[in-house]
Order: sequence, then C-alpha cells, then structure tokens
Amino acid sequence: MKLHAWLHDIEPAEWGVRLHWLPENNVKPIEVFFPFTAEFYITKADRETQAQLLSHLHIERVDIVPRFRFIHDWKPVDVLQVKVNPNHLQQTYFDLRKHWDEYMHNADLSLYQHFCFQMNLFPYVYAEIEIINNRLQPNWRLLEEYTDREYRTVPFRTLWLQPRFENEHLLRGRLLALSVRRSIVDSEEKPVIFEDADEGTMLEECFRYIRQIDPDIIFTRGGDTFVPILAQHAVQAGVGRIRPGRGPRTLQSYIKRPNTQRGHSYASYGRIYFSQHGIYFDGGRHHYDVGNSFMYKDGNIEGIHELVRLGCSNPQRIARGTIGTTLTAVQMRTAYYQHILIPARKADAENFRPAWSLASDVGGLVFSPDVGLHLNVTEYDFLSMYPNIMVHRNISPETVNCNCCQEEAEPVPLTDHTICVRRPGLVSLALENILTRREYFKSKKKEHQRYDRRQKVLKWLLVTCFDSNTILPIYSKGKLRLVRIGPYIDEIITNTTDFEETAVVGVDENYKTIFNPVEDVVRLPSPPNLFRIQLDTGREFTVTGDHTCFILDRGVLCERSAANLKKGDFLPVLFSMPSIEPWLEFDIISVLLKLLPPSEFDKWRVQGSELIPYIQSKRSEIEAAMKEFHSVGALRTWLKDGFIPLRYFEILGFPLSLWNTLSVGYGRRVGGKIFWIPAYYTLDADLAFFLGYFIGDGSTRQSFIRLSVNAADIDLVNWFDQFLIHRFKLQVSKRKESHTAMFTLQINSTALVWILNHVFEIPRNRMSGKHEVPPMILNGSEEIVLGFLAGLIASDGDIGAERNYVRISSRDHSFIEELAYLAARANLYTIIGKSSPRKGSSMCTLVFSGQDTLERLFDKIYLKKVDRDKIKKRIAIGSGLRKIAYDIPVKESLLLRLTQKVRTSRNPRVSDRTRVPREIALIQLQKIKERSDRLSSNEYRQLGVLERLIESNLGFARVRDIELVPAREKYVYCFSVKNKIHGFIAGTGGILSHNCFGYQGYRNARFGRIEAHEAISAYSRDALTQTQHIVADYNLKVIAGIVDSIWVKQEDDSTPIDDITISQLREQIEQKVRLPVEHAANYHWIVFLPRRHDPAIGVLNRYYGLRKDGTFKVRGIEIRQSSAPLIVKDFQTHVLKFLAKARTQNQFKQQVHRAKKLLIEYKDRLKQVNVPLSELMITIHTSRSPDEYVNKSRQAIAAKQFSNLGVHIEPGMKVDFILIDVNAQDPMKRVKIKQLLRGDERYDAEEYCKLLDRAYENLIPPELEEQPITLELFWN
Amino acid sequence: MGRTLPSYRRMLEKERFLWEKHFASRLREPHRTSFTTLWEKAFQLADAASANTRPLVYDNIVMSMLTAQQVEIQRLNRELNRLKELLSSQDMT
Repeated sequence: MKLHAWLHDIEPAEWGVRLHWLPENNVKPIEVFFPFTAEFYITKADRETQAQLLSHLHIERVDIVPRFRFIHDWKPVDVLQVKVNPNHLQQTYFDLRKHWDEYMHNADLSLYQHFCFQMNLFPYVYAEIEIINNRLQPNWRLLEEYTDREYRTVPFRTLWLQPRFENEHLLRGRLLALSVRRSIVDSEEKPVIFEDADEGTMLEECFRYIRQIDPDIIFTRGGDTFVPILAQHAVQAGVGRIRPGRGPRTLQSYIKRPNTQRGHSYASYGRIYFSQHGIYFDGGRHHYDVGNSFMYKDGNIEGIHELVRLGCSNPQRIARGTIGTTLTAVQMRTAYYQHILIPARKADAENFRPAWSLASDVGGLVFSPDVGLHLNVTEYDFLSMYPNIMVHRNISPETVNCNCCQEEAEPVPLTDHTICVRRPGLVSLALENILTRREYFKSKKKEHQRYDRRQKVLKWLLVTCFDSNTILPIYSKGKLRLVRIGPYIDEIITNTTDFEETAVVGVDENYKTIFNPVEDVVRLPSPPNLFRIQLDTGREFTVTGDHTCFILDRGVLCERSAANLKKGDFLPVLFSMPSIEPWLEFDIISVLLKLLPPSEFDKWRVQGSELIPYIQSKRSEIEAAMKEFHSVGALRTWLKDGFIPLRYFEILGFPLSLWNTLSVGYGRRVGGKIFWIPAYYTLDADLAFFLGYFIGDGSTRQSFIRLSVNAADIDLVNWFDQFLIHRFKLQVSKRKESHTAMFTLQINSTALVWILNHVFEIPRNRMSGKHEVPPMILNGSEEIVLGFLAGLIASDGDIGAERNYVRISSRDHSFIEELAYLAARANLYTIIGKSSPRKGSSMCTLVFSGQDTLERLFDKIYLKKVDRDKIKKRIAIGSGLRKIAYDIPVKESLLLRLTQKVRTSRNPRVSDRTRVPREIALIQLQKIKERSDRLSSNEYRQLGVLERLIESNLGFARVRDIELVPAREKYVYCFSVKNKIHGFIAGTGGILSHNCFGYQGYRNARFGRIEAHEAISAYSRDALTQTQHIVADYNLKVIAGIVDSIWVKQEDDSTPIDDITISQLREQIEQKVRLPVEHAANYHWIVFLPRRHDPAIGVLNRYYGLRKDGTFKVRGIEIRQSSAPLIVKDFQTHVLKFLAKARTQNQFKQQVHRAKKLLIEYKDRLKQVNVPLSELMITIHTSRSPDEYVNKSRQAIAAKQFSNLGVHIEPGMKVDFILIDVNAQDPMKRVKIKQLLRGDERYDAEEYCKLLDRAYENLIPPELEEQPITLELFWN
Repeated sequence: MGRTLPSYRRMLEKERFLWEKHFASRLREPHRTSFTTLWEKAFQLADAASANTRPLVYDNIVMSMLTAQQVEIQRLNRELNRLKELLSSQDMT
C-alpha cells in the first residue's frame, strides 16, 4: 500500500521502531514497524572493548568507523560504533556507562534523534511511504525537505479536555465534571460535558467519547498536574485501565511517583521557575499542557511543529521545553551530519588563565539615561544582537582563542581573546539557520500565520579538497598527463569515465615517488574561502581549510590541516617523478589514417620504392577502388614514381616492419610539387630541441613554419638548416630581417605543419594552446626532456648575468607550472617566481638552478663556445647554485639533534642553520653512523628515519605565506588513493599533500564557553560605543543606551528628527557596525525614571514612552509585573491614558495633575473596603520550599499556608494571596492564600494604598512632578 | 554561563557602604555633604566605569569622581566668565 502521510510519532520496539503516520485526507492514523538500531559511539577502539560490547544482550554489532572526536579536530579517528536495540536504549546506556563513561558519545540522544538523524528524516515530514504487512518499506520518498521553508501544515485532530473538581483551586474533592471541546480556538463551541454521574461512569464515558473522536493531540490547561489526580480517581472508581493514549498505557500508570516525578525548579534571569513533570500520552496521541508550555503560549501548535522539525525531537518534550532545548538539538543535528561525536556531558571547560584576564568579563554596555522627560525621541535596536554577533563575528566555543590562527586571528575589541578566521563555528552556523528562518518568517508573517522558516544547511562548509585549477600529474593507460583537477574530475563524473587504471604521483614508505592508484574521486561544493599556501621556492597550492597537508616534523611526515599550517613549516615537495616507459617512436601514417577525414585521403600520398611491388600485386583491387575517385591512368604514374594516395594504402597490405622506409607528402589532388617527409620518427634530443624552440619562437600558417633566430646565433641557423634537411628532407629558406637582428627561417611543408599539430600535438598558436608541454615530451626520456627545455631556453630563456641560473619567463602561468613538472621528470631543480603584476598581467618565471641541473642543461643548450667555457668555469666553482628545496631541514629532520649527540654538528656545520645541502647531510649521516655507539636505542631508530629522508626523492620547502582567498569555482575536488601514505603530488611546483577523507570537519559544542560569552559581550559593547560616535557625528544626543537599544534626540527636542536623517543614521550604523539595525520607534515623549533612593541617577530598566503610533513602551513598572494586584495595574493604565494626551512639557504637567487626582480617587475606593478581592490578588513565584524560608515574608507565609493544607509547594511555583493585616502579631494572619478565601475577608486597605502610592511614584517621581523637564543635574 | 565578576554597581555600593562606615561617619558637616555628593557623581558615571573592568574598583571610583569634579569646575568657570561679562557690561553702561 502506497500513501502520502506525515510522520507523527516514533516509539521504541524490539530491534526497531513503531512509527505513527498521519495519512492525508484525515483518515485513520497508521502504526507501522520499521527495523532499526540506534548508534552509540565509544572512543576506545580496541578489540577487547569491541568483544566486551558484543557480549551485551542489547547490542547487535560493533564496528570501527572514523569520526571526529573533538571540536578542534581536523581529522577523524577510529571509534567503535555500537548498534543498540531501541527498546532498551536507556538501560544499555546505563550499563555501558559503568565501564566506558568517559568514552561514550551520542549515547544520550533521544530515540527521535537517533532515528531521524540516522534515517535522514525529521518529525512531521510529509512523505510517500509504502507499507507491506504492517511494515514500513525503506523506499520512502520525501515530499518536502528539511531545508524547505514552505511546508504543509499537518491537519491534526485535536481535542480540549478539562476536569472540574469540588475544590477547584486545590484540585481536591470529588470529580464533578469532565468537559471536552473539539476546537481549541472556537470559544463559542459548546463543550460536551460529562457530569451528574459517579466518577467511574464519567471517566469511562468521557474517554469513550475521546476514543470515538480519536484525536492526535489532547490539549489541557494544567493537565500535567491534574492527569495524575484523575488517574487516582479512576483507580478508586475501578476504571484505572482506561487508556488515554492510542497505545497500551493505562490511566493508572500516570499516578505520580512522588520521588521521581516531582517536576523541577530552575533559575532564569534571577527568578525561580517550576516546571511540572510532563504527562506524555502514547501510541501516537500527544498531550500538550498549555499551562506548562512556554512554546505553546508563544507559537501555538505551529510554533511547536516548527521546532519539532528543526530539532528532530519529541513534540511532547519540545512543547514543555525551553528554546535552549531546541537550540541544542539543532546543534546536535548539524554535528551528527558532520560526523562529529556528541559528548554525553559538557566537556569543554574554561581554559586556565590569569585572574587579571577576568577584566574582560564585563557584560553589556549601558549609557545611563538622563533622568526625566524627553520629547521627540527615536529608538534604534540591534536586531537579535547577541545571536547576530555570534553569526557575523563567527563566535563559537571552538573559534574563540583557536589554535589554528596566528596573527590573522581577529582580535576581540578590548579583550585578549581572538576569533578564528579560518573556519565557521558550529554555534554560529546553527544560529545562522535560525536567524535566517526568523527573518523569512518576519517578512511573511503578515501573509499567514503558518509561515515559517527552514534553516539553511551549510553542508558545503569545510570540505577537504583542492581548488579546481590545481595542476597535477596523472598516469593513465601508460601515459603521463598534466591535468587541472577540476575539469578532469568533472569529466569523470559527468561522463562516468572509468578511472580504474588511473594513478596520481605519491610516495611510498621510503619517500620515493611512485604512482599511487586512484580509488575514488571527490567533488564537493566549494566553501566561500580557500587557503593559498605559498612556499619559499615559488611552489603553491590552494586548498580548503581543513585539507590535510604533510609537514616534516621529527624526521617523519606528519599530518596537519591547511588552516593549521604555520609560516616556517616544511612541506614535502616533488623532486623527481617516478620513471615511466618513454614514448619514443611515431608513425605518421597510422596517425593520418586515424585522424584524417576520408575527403583528405586523396591529398596525402605515401611514397617509397618498396611500395611498387605491392602496388603491382594489388593492382586489380586498387583499380576497382579507384573507379570513383581517380582515372585508371593515374595508377601508371604512381607505379612509376613509387607512391600511392593514402586512400589505397591499406589495400596494399604493406608490412608494418617496413613502414619506417616510407615517406609521406601533401599536395593538391590534381598534382603539383610534393615535399616528401619521412613517415616514421624516433623522438630524440635534437627533435625535442626543435620542438622546444618552435614552442618558444616558432609559428605556423597553413603551409609553412617560421622560426625566428637571433642574427648573432648564425651557428644555430646552420644547425636548423642541417637538422631539417637531415630529419625532414626539407629545405629551409633564410631571410635576414631588415630592421632587426633576426633571421627568419621558413620551412614550406603543409605536411610538417600537420604533423606538428597532430602528431606532436603542438597547436598553431598560443591562443589555441601552443604553450603546453607536448604529451610525448612529458612521456619522453630524460634526454628528450633536457633537449626540449634546451630548445625552449634557446628561444625564450635567458641566462643570469652571474651565470648561476637559467630562466624561462612567460605570461602563461599554467605553462610554467607544466614546465616545472617536466623539469621534475629529468630531476632538474627549479624555482618558480612571479613578478609583480604590471598593467594587469604578471610574468611567471621558472628558474633552473643548482650545479648538476645547470651542468646537464648547458650540455644541451646552444651556446657560443666562448660562453660555454665561461659557464663551465662558473659551474665548477659552484657558488650561488644552492638548491634550497633539496636541502635537508636540520631541526625538523632530527639531523641537528643526532649530530649534537655525536658531537659532529660543527664539521661540516649543521648547527645555527635552518637547512643544509643534502651532500653535507650525507657526510653527517656517515659520521653519525661511525659514532652510532653514542646513540640511545631510540636515537638509533631516528638515525634510520634520517637516512630514509636524506635518500628520499622529496624536497622540502618552507611555508612563506598563507592567505585566505575567495573560491573561484563552484566546486572543490580531490582524489582518494590506495597506498599506505595517503597523499599525492599536486599544485604549482608539485607539493605532496594528503588525499581526501570526504569528511567535513568540526565537532558539536552542546555547551557554552565563558570566553565565547565574553567575546560576544565585548563585541556588543564595541557596537554600542561605535553607534554613540556615529550619533554624535549627526549632532544628535544619546539619551540612553541599553546593550542593544539606543535612544537619540535632537539637542533641542521640541522638533523631531527628520525621516531622512533617521534612515541615513540607521544605514550608517549598520554599515559601520556590521550588524543588522532596526529603527524601532519614534516617540512623542519618553520618561526615564530615576533610582528610588537616588533621584539624580537614572536606572536602565525603568522607563515608559508614548510611541507616535499611540502605543506605549513600558518597562520595569507595576503594569508589567505579574505580582502586582489588578487594582494597581488598573490605576497605572489610567494614568498612562491621561499622559497619552500630552505632547509638550506643559501638557504633560497638566496630565500629571489629573493623575494625582486619580490617585486620590483610587485610594478612597480602597478605603471604603468594597474592592473585589480578585482585584487585590498578589501573585508571587516562591523562591524556595516552605521549610527553607527563615523570615516571615509574605510569600513565606503563603507557602506555609499551602503546607498546612497538605499541598507541597516547590520553588518557582506561583502563590496567590491577599494582604489581610500586614501588621498582625500572628504572621499567619497577615496574608491569606487564594485557596483559603471565603470571600468575606477584610483586606488591609492602608497597605494597598501604599502600593498605589508607590505605583504612582514609580510612574511620576516627585522630581518629575515638580519639574517635568529633563533633570539637567549634571551635564551643563 | 554566568559572569565571574560581580557587577561594578554592586561593588560601588559595597565600597560606598565601607567608606561611609569607616570614613564618613567621622566627618563633620559640610564635609559630609561633600562626601555624599562625590559618591553621587561616581554613581552617575557608573555606566562608563562598568565597561572598564579593573581588578581594583577604587581606580574607577576615583576616576569617575575626578571627571565629575572637572565638569563642575568647567561649569563654574563658564558661570564665572558669564558673570564677569555681565558685570563689565553693567560698568560700561
């Protein structure tokens, strides 16, 4: 059966879960089974633990998997993945905790989270599901994504249940009635009431009715309190087996167990709250107690729905939780998908630090308000300031004072803390999602209530890959190629090309370069920024921040993430490529037959005297084939001259072994002069030299090739003359250019042009890619590579004045990159340099240096004899010819340590040096070996490590600079390789780097860190300070500022700030502070109130103001306090109504007089003692248990009165009472709780009058009454 | 995650209490009034001082008082100059 449904509830079952789906069209909900095991992780991955775990009854299997263990980790470690029976999740957790408490991760996630994370689902997902034999099939299809902002609201069936007891306030006495309403919104709906019967019948009938309606959600007010009481009544009436949910759980099971189900008290913002133990119904029916659900009050069912989807948590739990529960859940979800383990408990404590640094623990900034009345005030608010700071400034536990950033870390203003610039923090990511959603919701809220936001899943962050443009050598099907990683992998992925026989260049255990077979290719969306790592020999590569690089440390290659690299680290670089079978011979005829279109076959002819007997023997076949294309007479000419058009060559069956005796030529079809050139070539140094020279200084047209040669190099002109005659049987025409000292050599041969283009794969010009290393040169022998480079240097290179280097420069950076790899094929030492950009383009240079490199190169380079002698002398001296990257770093390789131990570090000198030439290292190695008796066993092992390093064909270059660069392409790429050392050579100049794990890297922080909190406060203070300066620039005055709000007005406040300035100022603040700012309101006036005992000093949280839209903003006065009696609130509301008429100071003063009169009226009313008690009720949250109170305060007495009634009051619970006689001798007579009131009590009128007086003074302090203008007490 | 340090205002209250107890109680009028005024000034500048957390809260208190005194001196100077100008203009007439 296939259907569309919403996932409503997840319950544990034996080795699986029971899922409750709500099908569309409001048909009956469906319960299905799905086999499933939850995953715990144990970070002690040894065989013994594995075996012990497997012996547990509720563990199915234990596997070793890689996961990120710590938040700061850049690399996963092996951990044990334990598959647990969901029906015994908690028991298994407690069992395992006994042995592996500190190793356990992901163990305290709820079943909802385990299931949703592992199955990539989320509660209330709308999906197409298939059910066979009451089992959900795993082929579900999601019809909405977790990231969707718009989604269908679930058509819940709801019901409202409310009981009535004899003593309504105490929920005591007989159960009088049970009322049920279908709608929770329609207040006019007539409820179905079950009453006038015995309790058992009422309960049975009521729940029978509920079963008929079969609601998905039952709403109650106070259900978490009264359901256990109902359960008691049901048991007494003998109907305890009634089932309130859809599952098997009976009502009697909800009877409260006092020790475990008491609820809990908690402190928040200086106040104690009490949260009742939740009563959850089972079997796909939920119970929401709207009296115990902050979320319901704020967001209704849709708010809960949204949070449940986001946090993948139990809806009944989310409904009773705080926003923190969901925030943690969102973080955990993000962490799970990043393969980061979630610790069971807070694990990241505050770092040790000097007490002095506590100075940064300051809190938010405030500008004390100027006390009094201010006219025409404008308020600006920073929108969700702290979350926005976390997002915009990347604040998260792992980013504050990170280890990876050095100088580039962003300092937090006025503190010693720094923020990581290399990776986004987990908290900031999770918050970003929530903020984005909120913004979307805000923009849509006017359209419909249900609009909500989906969080942006930024999975693409922190992938471990290379920039698309990274060059690397690839060995595939017997050929070496230089490719750009991006296009290469794109092609593999797009065309599903096979890469089985593909290898990249890596190293073996002895650090010798080898071809390392590719196991997999990786393409992932690019993060916004990448790291460009520049080394001191011009080598560089660009990778994602957490890409693992190798660095030399203590003689071995250690792994370190790119973001964690430091200047001065030594990275292994390529020196020589692994040897390959050179590619030496070229058969032109085969290439012609393969590449030419048949229409060209008549223009190309094959010539050779050996052909004649074959033409004769195949004459009849040729004549038959000729009919269409040639006259029969032509055959006679062919026989005479010994040639045949290419079209008929294959008919001859000419033996392959004789093809090297043939020539080919190109000519018009109708005849004419044909220049014959050999059809078979062996690639040698001379031909490579010619090709190199041609790439440097040659050009082609359709039918000829031109080479430019310096007029001074007449020997070279002669060499070309000889070479072309000898090799191609072609004459060269020479022309001396009239205005420059140049010879132009022209070789007329369409065939040679074609051969250069197609056989040697050298395109015609730079635009079509002439500046690339031809594949056969790259695959050639060392001699060929040297010959090619010599040709290139002869045309485009230059030799340093000191004769200690040879250089090739090009605007084409990629050409230089390719040449560097080519040089590595011949073991030549190179450095890559870049000149500063001029006029929009920069030159890139490949410098050949080092004694042996130059010796070998100069052997091939064309030089005048005089120059050659000079250079030889120079090289023999060997000065200035060091190969830095080939040197051995003394400290990192352990050379220094070992030489110091055997006391040879001064001869030849190793100490006080960063690196020494390999020759010196070899001498030292010999010396250490001779004195190896002085070494400890550990040092002897290190000697082996050093020897391996010196004999390796890796060089080491130092990190010169690391910079963050914006990603240019959409994706980043990587390979996964087979061999033990998981790395390959890539990047400019060839750098050994680690391959991809396919992981993304950071760990969840389900906790805060004090340093992060301090950083946020510091940024908020900085923001407010900056805002103050900007306001001053506009000649406006800040009258108050509280953490994220600021009030400003004109110096002369009789006129308001104009709209243009208001919006300009907002933009200016937003631009400079880089946080979203909102113009919150314009006020006709606002009053900042003083301290009660200190009228000159303004307080930060007591003010009220009349907005231009006629509404009030009131803070810190009785009207906002839940404890204040109704009469006081009523009075203040009246006063504000009077004040709302005022627009000027004088009008305000007049209204103050009216308010004064009103106070007298209210007091008179109180004194007549005829105010209803409900208007006098004071509601206070208790702060402790009744026994804990030591004084006789009013709430202490009220709590005591509850105790006397036998009702236990927990800290945070509300108590309502009336002041009866506050001066009574017997404290118990001073107040009376609501539950004890009879209705005829006399209240303490005098005390209530005092409350009114205080409420009046809180609105209009005496100073303001006398002089309602701003109290300019201080700043004159 | 709470703050490690007590707030500046709370420390200010505590300091004032100690100074009143051990110092101001020995003062005679009008010195005592001056003492009270000085502390009022310290409270008026508490917003700036609380953003400048220092191990010794006394530093902030003294700096607040000094700043307030300087403001008062400037105000008196302005007043003095205004009166001088007023007097000289009356002399002229």
